[in-house]
Amino acid sequence: MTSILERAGVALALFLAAVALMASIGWSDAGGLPPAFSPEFFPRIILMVLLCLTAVGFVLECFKSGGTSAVELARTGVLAVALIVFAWSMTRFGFFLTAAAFSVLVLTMLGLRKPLAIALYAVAVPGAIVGLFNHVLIMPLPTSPFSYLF
Amino acid sequence: MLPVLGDSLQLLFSVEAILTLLLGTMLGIVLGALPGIGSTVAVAIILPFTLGMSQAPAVLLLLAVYAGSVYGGSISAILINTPGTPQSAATTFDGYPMAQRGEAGRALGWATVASVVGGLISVVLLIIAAPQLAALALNFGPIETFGLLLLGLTCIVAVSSGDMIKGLIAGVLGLLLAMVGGDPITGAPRFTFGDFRMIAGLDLLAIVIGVFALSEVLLRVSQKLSTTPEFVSFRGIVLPRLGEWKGRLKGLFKSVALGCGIGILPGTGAATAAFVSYAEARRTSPNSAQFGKGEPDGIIASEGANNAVTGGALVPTMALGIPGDAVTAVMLATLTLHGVTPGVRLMQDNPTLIGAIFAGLFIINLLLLPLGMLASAMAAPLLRMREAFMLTAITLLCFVGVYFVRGNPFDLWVMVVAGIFGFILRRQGYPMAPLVIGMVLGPTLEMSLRQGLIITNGSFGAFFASPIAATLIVISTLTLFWPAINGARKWIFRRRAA
Repeated sequence: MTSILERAGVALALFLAAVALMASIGWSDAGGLPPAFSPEFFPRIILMVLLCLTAVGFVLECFKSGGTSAVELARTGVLAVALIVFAWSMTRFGFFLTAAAFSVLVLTMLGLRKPLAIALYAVAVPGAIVGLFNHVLIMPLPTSPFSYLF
Repeated sequence: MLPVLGDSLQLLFSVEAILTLLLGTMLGIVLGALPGIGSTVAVAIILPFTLGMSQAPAVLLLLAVYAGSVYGGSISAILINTPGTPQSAATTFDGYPMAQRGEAGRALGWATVASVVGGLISVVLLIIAAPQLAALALNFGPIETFGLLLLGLTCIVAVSSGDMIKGLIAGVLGLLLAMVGGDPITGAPRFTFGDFRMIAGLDLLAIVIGVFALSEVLLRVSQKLSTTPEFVSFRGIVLPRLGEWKGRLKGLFKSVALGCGIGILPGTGAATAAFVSYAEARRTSPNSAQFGKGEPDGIIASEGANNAVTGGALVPTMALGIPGDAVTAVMLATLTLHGVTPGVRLMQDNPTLIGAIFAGLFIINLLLLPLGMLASAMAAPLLRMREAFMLTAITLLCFVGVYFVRGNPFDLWVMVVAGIFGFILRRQGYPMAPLVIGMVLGPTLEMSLRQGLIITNGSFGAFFASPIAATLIVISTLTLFWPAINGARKWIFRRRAA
């Protein structure tokens, strides 16, 4: 993707999001409530401002030269997916197991090639966090279905 | 006055508070020294540890981490030519050349003393200015509060780094995010799309950690990661002798004054202060020819100013409830978590806590001197750590931090989405501080507008009938359109000259 397409694409996406949100609350107050009592009164003002700004932003981006830096798309994509999986599995499989698996994946992806260092890190850092929160601060993190200890 | 002072000191000199100050300052320096973390991320990842603490130590811990991290940024700026925080970017210009000459200890010595002096003077300013400003704002009704918040928001956006339109968009997006959930007056759900988990609104901390910390991790991963940085030899801090200050004190006080002044303006931040101060020192210093080659005046200018911002940024935060920057926005969120309502009545309603905060901040800045010497020795080996280890640890702490605030798994989703969204926006140059500040100010801005309309039977004209509100609204409008007005003015001058 060229930089201008990326920049203009983001600006256009913001504009379209503003249009969609405005459509979801209606372009005018259908209930006829006084402004102070209408839940949509303030959001409508803000969305109108956002619509104008994103429209201007989109036009400006289309005419702007120069671009953003290159992106390691595959690595960033994998990390983004890993974050989503982490959020999903943390409360299901407990913090320790999820964090250990996440650490192994991320460290390997970021170029570490020493299995011992990766394994030590993946056990020690999440273990230290679990130890601190669960047993010192007594503010328990989610535990796994396999053991109450982690 | 005296009983309040006594109570504040009692709060401050408890074992918990003293340990908090020591640990927080140390931790702040170390975290600030690690490139990529920055003050906002440092404060955000420490926040969950404050949840089990009482009010005063919790706020003191965050203040200690804040002040410590601003100073800590200079350690990596000098030792590896990579600023730990954006505030210390200007320190690299002269700090690293000094370190390359084998004077890393002396460079850090200048940075330490300048930081301590900057921080201490800014606390004095905070103690003097904040109560005056707060007393003035106490007479404000909803209409004037609306004008004040509007001005705060426009200032923040107008001075936000880079593109003003992008700053405005980010600020408005923050206002929009603040509206998710139940309407404050009628309770009707807004932008929840039928999802009951969104009725209580989006958690501010999840958004803050997402757009600052998680997006930073994604940004770093999206670029080529550094391996082990080039390291100069360092055998500890060497403080400058008194005689060496001859001819440099004027520059130090000027940079501190600039830092305090810029810090008070909402949204400007320490990085701006450091660069403005560095440029001014380069223009006026008798040693200006040596700037960029390892001149201590350059380090003094940058470090004196960036640490002076800490106290300055707290003036609007404490007095008006308008966060001076993203870090103080997180602090306001912390106060809310601990049952303190930020706003114009903050100082009036919590004099003991505020007294403890002021005195605590003074002590924190004093502690920077001994702890800076100790922590720099600890942080230096950490700078050799591979970035991959640090990024993974930050990510794990983000998840822990967000989960702890409400114990709500939904907040993890909010954080991840905010992180990915923040990454996309930051790549395009959208600043994230206006988004967070918009989110903090949004609810009060809306409430004051609607309360004002209720009081005046829906009359928008009443907002201009109040001289204070009208003035504030006019200044806000001028601030917003100033770049356009200025551009037009320059164009007319050029036309006339031609």
